[in-house]
Amino acid sequence: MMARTIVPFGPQHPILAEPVRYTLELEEETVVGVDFELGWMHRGIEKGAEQDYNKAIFMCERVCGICSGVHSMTFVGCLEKAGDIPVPDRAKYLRTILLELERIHSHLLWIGVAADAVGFQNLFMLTWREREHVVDLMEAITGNRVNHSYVMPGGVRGDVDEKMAKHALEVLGAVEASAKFVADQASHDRTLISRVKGVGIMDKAMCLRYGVVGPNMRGCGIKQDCRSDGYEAYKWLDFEPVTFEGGDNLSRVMVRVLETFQSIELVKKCFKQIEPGPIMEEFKGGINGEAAYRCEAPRGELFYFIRGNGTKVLERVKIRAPTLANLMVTRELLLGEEFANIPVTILSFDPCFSCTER
Amino acid sequence: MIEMSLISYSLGNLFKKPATIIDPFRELKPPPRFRGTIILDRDKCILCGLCSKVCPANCIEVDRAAKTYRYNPIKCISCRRCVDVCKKEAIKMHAVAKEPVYEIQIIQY
Repeated sequence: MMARTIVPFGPQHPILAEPVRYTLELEEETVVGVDFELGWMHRGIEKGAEQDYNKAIFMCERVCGICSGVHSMTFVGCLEKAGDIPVPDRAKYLRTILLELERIHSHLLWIGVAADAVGFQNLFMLTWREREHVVDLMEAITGNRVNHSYVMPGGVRGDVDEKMAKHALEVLGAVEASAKFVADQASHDRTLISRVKGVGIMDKAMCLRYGVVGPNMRGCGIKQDCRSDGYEAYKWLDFEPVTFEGGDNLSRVMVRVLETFQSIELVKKCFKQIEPGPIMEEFKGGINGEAAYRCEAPRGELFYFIRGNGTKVLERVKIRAPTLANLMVTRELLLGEEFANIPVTILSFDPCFSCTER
Repeated sequence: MIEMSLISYSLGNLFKKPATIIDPFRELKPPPRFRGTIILDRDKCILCGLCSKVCPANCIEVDRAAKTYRYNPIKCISCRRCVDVCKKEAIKMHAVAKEPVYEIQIIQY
C-alpha cells in the first residue's frame, strides 16, 4: 500500500477569499480522501434578524457581500407573502433590474477571481474593469455599491427616471460589447482551456443525488432555474434558462459567461416593458403566520423562511444559502483529481462561505 | 492567432486613458442618490424621536428632556431610513463618503 499524506487546504489559502478547511488525503499527487469543515464565518444573523422586520431587512442584506440585493429581496418576499402586501408592477420591474444587475456583477467578479486562480491576470483585470461599470450603475440607481437597501415591503425606495434608464442602457451596451470580445478571446485561449476542460467532471446523476443548484447544475445540462417560477417581473419576461452540456469546470465557466449576457438582455427587456406608475405601497402592521420564499441568487437557489406572531417582531428567520447545497458534492467530486486541480475545481463552484454560515 | 489578439488588445490599453480614477488629480463624484452620513437641521427638528426608533443600527439618540440629538457616524449603516420617516424633513443625506477617523466622534446637535 502506498503511503498517504494528509494536506490541509485552508482555512487560510491564497485562492480562497473566505475561510473553509479542506482536509485532503493524497496518494502521491492523487486525492483519495476529502473532508471539509465550516464554521469560521458564523455571525448569528438568523438570531439577529428576530427583531422588528423593518430593521431585519438591513440585517439580512448583510448576509452576503456580493449578492446582498437578492437576500433582502427574498426576505421581503417572505414578508409580502405572509402579510398579503400588494406590490405595484413598476416596483416589480425595478426589483428585477436590480437582481439582474447583481447577477452580472457577481458573475463578472467570479470570472475574474477564477482567472486569477488559474494565473490569468490579464483576464482578471479585464473582467473587473467591466464589473466596475455595473457596480457604478447600481450605485446610481440604489445609492450604494453593495448594500443597496433598495427593496422594502410594498415596493422599492427609488425610481429610475428616463435619463437614468438611458444612461443604464448605454453602460450595459458598452459592457456587453467589451465583455463579448473578452469572452470570445478567453474561451479560445489554449492555456485557460487546458486548465479547465475535462477537469472536475460532475455527471447528471451525481448532480441530482447531491442536490446541486444554480449555474453548477445548469452546467450539467439540467434545465432548472428558480426564475422560471415567475416571481417579481420574471413572469412577464420570456426567457429560457441557460444550460451547457459537460459538467466539467469549463461548462460551469461557460454557463456563467452565457448567463451574464442573458442578464444584460433581461435588463434591456425590463427597461423596454416598464410602465410609469407608483413604486411603493406603504405597509404598516404586524406579520402573522409562516411564509417561505425562494429566489435565484447568482449562485443558485436561495431560500428564506419566516414565522411571525402578529406583531412587528419576527419569531424565526431561516436562511438557506445556495453554497450549502453546492458544497456537499465536492466530497465525491474531488476524489481521483490531481492535487494541482483542486483549487480551480473548488472555485468553479463559486463558493460563498459567509452566505452559508450566516 | 486568437491568443495574439488578446495580447495586442492589452498592449493597446497601455496607450489609452486609464479606467481607474487617479484620486488627487481628479475628484471622485458620488451620484446624487449616494448615501453617506446624515445632516440634521436643528431648526426644523421637533425631537419626536421617530428616526431613533426606526434606526436599525441604533446610532441616533434623542433626549427630549435635555433637548439633545446625538448621532454616531461610525455606527451608522447609511440606510436612509431616518430620512424617509422624518415628518418635518429635518434630516438630509450628505452624499459624501465617510472619512476614516482615529477615534469615535459623536456629533451632537
